[in-house]
Formats: sequence, structure tokens, C-alpha cells
Amino acid sequence: MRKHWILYVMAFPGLLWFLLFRYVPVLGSVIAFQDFQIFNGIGDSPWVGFKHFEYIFTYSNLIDVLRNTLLISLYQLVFGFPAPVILALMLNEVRKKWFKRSLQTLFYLPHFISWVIIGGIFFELLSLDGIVNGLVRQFGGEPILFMQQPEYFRSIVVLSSIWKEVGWSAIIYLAALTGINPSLYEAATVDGAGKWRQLTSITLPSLLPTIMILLLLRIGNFLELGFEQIYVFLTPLTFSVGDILDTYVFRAGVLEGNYSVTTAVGLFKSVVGFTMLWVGNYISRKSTGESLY
Amino acid sequence: MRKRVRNVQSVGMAIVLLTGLLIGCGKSNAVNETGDQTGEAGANNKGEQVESFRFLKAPISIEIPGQHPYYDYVISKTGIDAKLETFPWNDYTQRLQTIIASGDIPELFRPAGTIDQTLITQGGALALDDLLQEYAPNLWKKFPEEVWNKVRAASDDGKIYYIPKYDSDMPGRSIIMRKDWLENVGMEVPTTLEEYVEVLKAFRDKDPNQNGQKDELPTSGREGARWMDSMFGMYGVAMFEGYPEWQVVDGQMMYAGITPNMKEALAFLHMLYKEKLLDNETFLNKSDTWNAKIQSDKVGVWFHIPYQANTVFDNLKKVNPNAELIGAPLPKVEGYDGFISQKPLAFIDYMIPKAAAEYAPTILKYLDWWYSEEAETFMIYGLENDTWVKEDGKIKYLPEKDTQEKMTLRGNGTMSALSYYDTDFFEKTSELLHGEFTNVIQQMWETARPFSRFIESDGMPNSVYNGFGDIGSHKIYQEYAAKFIIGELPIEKFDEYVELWKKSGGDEVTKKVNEWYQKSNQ
Repeated sequence: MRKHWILYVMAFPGLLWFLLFRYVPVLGSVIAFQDFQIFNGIGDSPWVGFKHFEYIFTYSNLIDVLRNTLLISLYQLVFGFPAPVILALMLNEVRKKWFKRSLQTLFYLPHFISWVIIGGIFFELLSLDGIVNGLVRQFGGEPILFMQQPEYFRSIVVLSSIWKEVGWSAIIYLAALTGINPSLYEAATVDGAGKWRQLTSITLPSLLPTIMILLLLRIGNFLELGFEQIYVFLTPLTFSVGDILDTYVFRAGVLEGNYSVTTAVGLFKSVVGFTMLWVGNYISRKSTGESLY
Repeated sequence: MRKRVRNVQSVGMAIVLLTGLLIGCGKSNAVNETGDQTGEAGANNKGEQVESFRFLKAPISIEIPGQHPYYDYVISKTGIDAKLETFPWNDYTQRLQTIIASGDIPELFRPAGTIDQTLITQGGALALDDLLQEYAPNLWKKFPEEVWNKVRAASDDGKIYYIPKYDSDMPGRSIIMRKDWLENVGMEVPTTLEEYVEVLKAFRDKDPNQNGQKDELPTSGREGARWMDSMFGMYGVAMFEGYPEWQVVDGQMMYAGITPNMKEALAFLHMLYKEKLLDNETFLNKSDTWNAKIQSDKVGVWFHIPYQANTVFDNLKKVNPNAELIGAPLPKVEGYDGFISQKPLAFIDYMIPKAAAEYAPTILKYLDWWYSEEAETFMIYGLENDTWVKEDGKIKYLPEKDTQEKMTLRGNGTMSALSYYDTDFFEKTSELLHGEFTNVIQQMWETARPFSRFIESDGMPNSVYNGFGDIGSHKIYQEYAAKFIIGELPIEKFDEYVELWKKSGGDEVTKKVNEWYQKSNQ
């Protein structure tokens, strides 16, 4: 302790930050068990036990809402998670530095555009006079109102979020890729390993710890789909496939200023997320030896 | 164990990066940006002490100036300095909730969402019954007794907790048609359903915008089947800005979204949709796409606010210089008593939090001034010897001295704290604001007035929906209405939808609405 005092001093502001802004707010979760009143605060609001949880879980469309949440999240995981890994690997093979840089920039630019704008772009692209329906017409098809057909909704959500985030998420992998010792590749070349063999035997194994950590973190957020995107894309005609926990909470809690309900759902999501994280971590430790803690 | 340690090191870089990302983009600015205005007393330009309070208004379309002769004028008249604040609409409710939660609530504010009911039920609002009569007699007298009764019925203890915004008489919404399109297809303004459909068909087939392309949308609406009130209203359905209201059917209040008339209206709209007389993208139109279609010379008939039609008109003129607008009457449907819903009490203007009780006399005196004759002159014409002069004891307005900015600053919504508007007031301001176009607006008002009707659910507090978000947000109605109109569900399934609506809390809400209706009409 005394020897490294300067390190402790340096760590102190960070720890304080976590304590103040990450742990103290957790205490606010108690309002999930209260009828929280904005004027009386946490201290004077009446306690109601599990009333709000009961209210949420007796919602008549809960099954639909949960199914939509889980399905979209699953698709995001299955299709959305590997996308940045693949992009990073592909970018890594680009030899011309300026070309790689500009590609990378182009890929991560959409990250900085808000969902409201991306929603507008997608609505426009997929409208009757949009580019996509222009192509459909070229090939002699009947134009389709993609955004109001339930069967396309989830694909559009998953594709658009891949498009938006793939470049940004790839940055971490690209950083990890630069950390691989080049002598490994030299040795492999000498041993006669081709590009593909190098990829499967050197690059991927070296990347595995990063991938696993990010996968575990992603699993911990399994129920967090991001309200903004769905809210922007959702229209009454796609409620049946797109109404998720977040949009439900928006109607049931936020619009009515009912903070206790929103907190209850948030708490529920955190508990599910934590459980999944713990299970995922356990499985990962047993199978690949990688784990968060 | 050793392996674990090495792993931790090898992913160290990734974690550092990730943490950076989380910190960098995780938390957006959520907390207050209300500025530094406080309720302390300042001094006016004569050095006298003036009282002041913070006044949170609905969104204001201009940058609020720090200093202006208008402020000095109002301070010199009232001795009170109202410090204006505002938030934009898109996150108004959230921002207001944030400042309430942080205890930084202004002394006078415009509630939104369910905040008014939250404050009333949780005891955060100041009861104004006696205060109004004592400190704001003009305001008190201006509103008819029925209005105060409705305000009283919005709280359990029957007290007055807010000052409503009251738009009386003026027909706020109207059917708006392209007069030049009608001329181009050689037709008259339709007055019956059959004529109306014929006009729409002509708009579809006869290239009324004369660009050689079949790109016309005879009529269009917005996501959630909104802003097509007239086509529901023809069948006697109470719709307000696309949301079903409540109306008396067989002596009981009933949700307009489940009445038999609604079924007929949906069947009619389905026909329009199938025939491509209704924009087939209606259910994807956000307000800006809808506006863009109208303003780019694509739409023949729509339903909107005449008072705002001048912006549409100005933009339309840039695309098609021949564009003309005209107000159309509500088409008569045989066997139905059609009307256009009007809600003079659609909005709540101001509340005073209990914590600001000591400011109440000051605030009410301030509000009361806006009901005086000099305040009306100021709101409409500005300052004497600036934008008007006195000639033979009469006001002579000098339009060339006036600017849009001045009009907006002194007018309805910015400085003006008036909450009671009648036809007379709108006609006067329309003349100033809209120039020659005011004739068109007045024509729209005249045409719509005979069909406008105050609906029974006007002034109903939204607390009747508490606990039933799917009913209150009209989610069930919007989902099914859209399905019926595009034909995904046959209209014969209407009864199943009604059952679903009732089971999802509709019955409970109906009960509460009827209780409120009894109370407000005592």
C-alpha cells in the first residue's frame, strides 16, 4: 500500500466516480417497491411491496411483449454480434493503409447519427418512391410498404442496427488485433501456413478473450434493446412484432409519470441480465477458460 | 490461475477502450439547464423595486431576448417581472419532470403529460379558488362558470388547481382543399359524401397538379390514422387530432373508437385506401413527411389548422405558383349527424406549485393584467408610437414598423399570459400575422363553424386512464384501426376488437369517464 501510494491516489477519483454515479443510484431502485411521489421523495412515499411487479406481470399482452423482446435480442446477438468481428478481420487484411483508414471511417460514421435520423432515412429508403421499391419495380415487382409489414420489421431492426454500430464495435477488435505479436505470423509463414490457416490458428485464438468478454457483456444486456431505435421504427401496424419491454414501459410508466413502474421493469431487466451474465460467465469459464471475473 | 492472469492482461487494452466508450457515450446530459434565473427582486429602469417570479411557458418559437422594451413596458404597468423560461416540445414533459424532481420548479408553469394530475393528487399544486377571486378578478370573470366547473371536476376535492387555456368559438380545425386542383378538374367544392368521393377520384385520375405524372395523393393522413378527423367526423365520430375522444351514446359516455359509427367510418376509409384515394403510406407518415407531401404539391385534401395554413401556403407557392387553398364543408353522409370536434379546453395553461404559495398574489396580479384593455392593445398592436399611433382617439396600426419577431414576442405563447381566446381575438391577430392570406383563413373558419361542435369529453383529466396505458395511449385503437383500413382485417371483426378493448381495461376506464362526466355536469 505504502509502496504504491501514488497508484492509489490516481485510482481514487475513478473509484469515487463509480461509487457516486454507479452504486449510489442503485439504491434508488427501492422506489420499485413504493408508490413513488415526486413531491414527497423516497423518504415519504408509501411502500407497496410487489404491487408494481404484479401490475407488469399481469399485463394481458405480456407474452407478446416478452416474445418480441427475446426474439429481437436473439437476432441481434446471432447476427449483430459476429458482424464487427468479421468486419475487423476483413479490415485487418487490407494492406493499403489509407484505404483501410477511410473504409474504417466510413463504417463507423453512422454511429454518430441519432436513431431519429436513421429512422427517417430508413422510412425514406423503404417508402413507395424509395430506392428499394425503385429496384423492386425495375424487376417487375409490386412495390411493398416494408415498414408496415410485420414480417419485415425485425429484419429491418436488426439490419439497421448492424449498419449503425458495426464500424464502431469493430474498433475494439481492431485494437486487439494490433496487439498480436507479428512474429507469430512470421513463424507461421515460415512453417508454410496460408492466410486462412493464420486466421484460424493465430488471429482468432488471440482475439478470443476480447470476443468472449464482449459477448458476456452483451449477454448481460440481453433485455436492453435500446428504446430509441424500436420507438422510431414502430408503427401501430407492427405492434404485434415490435412492441418490446421498453415500449411497453414507455406507455405504462413514462407517459403516466409512473416512476415506480419503470423502475420495477428496470430492476427486473437487471436481475435477468445479471443472471444471464453469471450463467454465461460460468459456462465460458468451464468451456473456454475465459471469464470476466 | 496463471492463464487467467495472462488473459486479463491481454484483454486489458480492450477493456480500457470499452470503459472509454461507456463513459464517453453512456451518460447524456440529463440534469437541469434551467439557467440562473432566480426569484429575487430586481429593479426596473426607474430604480423602483419590482417583484419577480419564474415563468415556465410552453415551447417558444423564438430565442427569448435578454432585454427588450416590451419587458420594460409590462414591468412599468404591473410592477412585476416575469422571467420567461421554456423547453422544446420533444422533451418538454421529461425536462419538467426533472426540474420538479430536483426541487427547482418555477413559480408558475405550464404542465404537460400527466404532470398536472400527479401534482394535484400528490398535494403539490396550490388551490386557487379564493386567490383567483381576490387577486385576478378580471381573469376570474372572463371564464364562464362551466369552465371553472370542469376545472373543479378534474380534482377529487373539487378545487381549482389550474388555469385552463380556453379557445372559444373559433373553429380550430377545418377541411382544407386545393382550390386550383378543383378548378383544374372542373369541379365544385363537394358538400356530400358522393361528391367528395368523386372529387377524390378526379384528383387521382385527372392530373390536377398538371405535371404530367400520376403522383397525386387525393387525401392523406398520418401514422396512427391521425389527422383525418373530418372523415371520422362525417359519421359522427368524435375525433380530435386523430385521437378518439369520448361522446355520449344512449346517455352514457362511450369511447369514440368503439362506436358503431366508428365501424362505418373505418369501412369508408378502407374503401378509400383500396381505391388509392387515401395515401397508401398514411400509416408511415410522420408529421414532417405528411407536411412535405402537402407542401410539395402532392395532396388535394387534408385536415388541419386554418390559423397555421399560411406556412403551408407559402411553401406550396414556391413549388406551384398557381396553388390556392379553400376551406371545404364537412361532407354530408346520409343518416349521420356529422361534426368536427372542438375542444376549447384541450390544454391546461398554468399551475402554481404549493411551494410557491407566497408568490401567488404577485403571479395572479400579473396574469390578471393580461386581461385588461391595454394588455390586449399591446398583444395585438405592440407599443404606442412604435408600431401604432393614436389618431382621432383610435388606434392606427403601422404594419411597416412591425416585425415578425415583435409580433411573436408580445403575442400568444411568448410574453402574453392570456389564456382566454375568442374569435374576435384570433381575427384581429390573423389580420396582422397573415396579411392578405387572412381572407382565406377567415373563409375556412366560416365554412367550418357550422360543423364545429364542443365535445362532451372536453376538459377531462387524463387520470381516468391511470393504470391502463394501452387505452390511454390509444394503442389498441390505432393498431386495429390501421388493420381495418388497409384491409389486413375484415371490418366484420370489428366486434372482436371492441371486446378486446373492453377486456384490456376499456370497461374500467369507461366507468371512470362516466363518473367524471356526472361530476362535471352537476
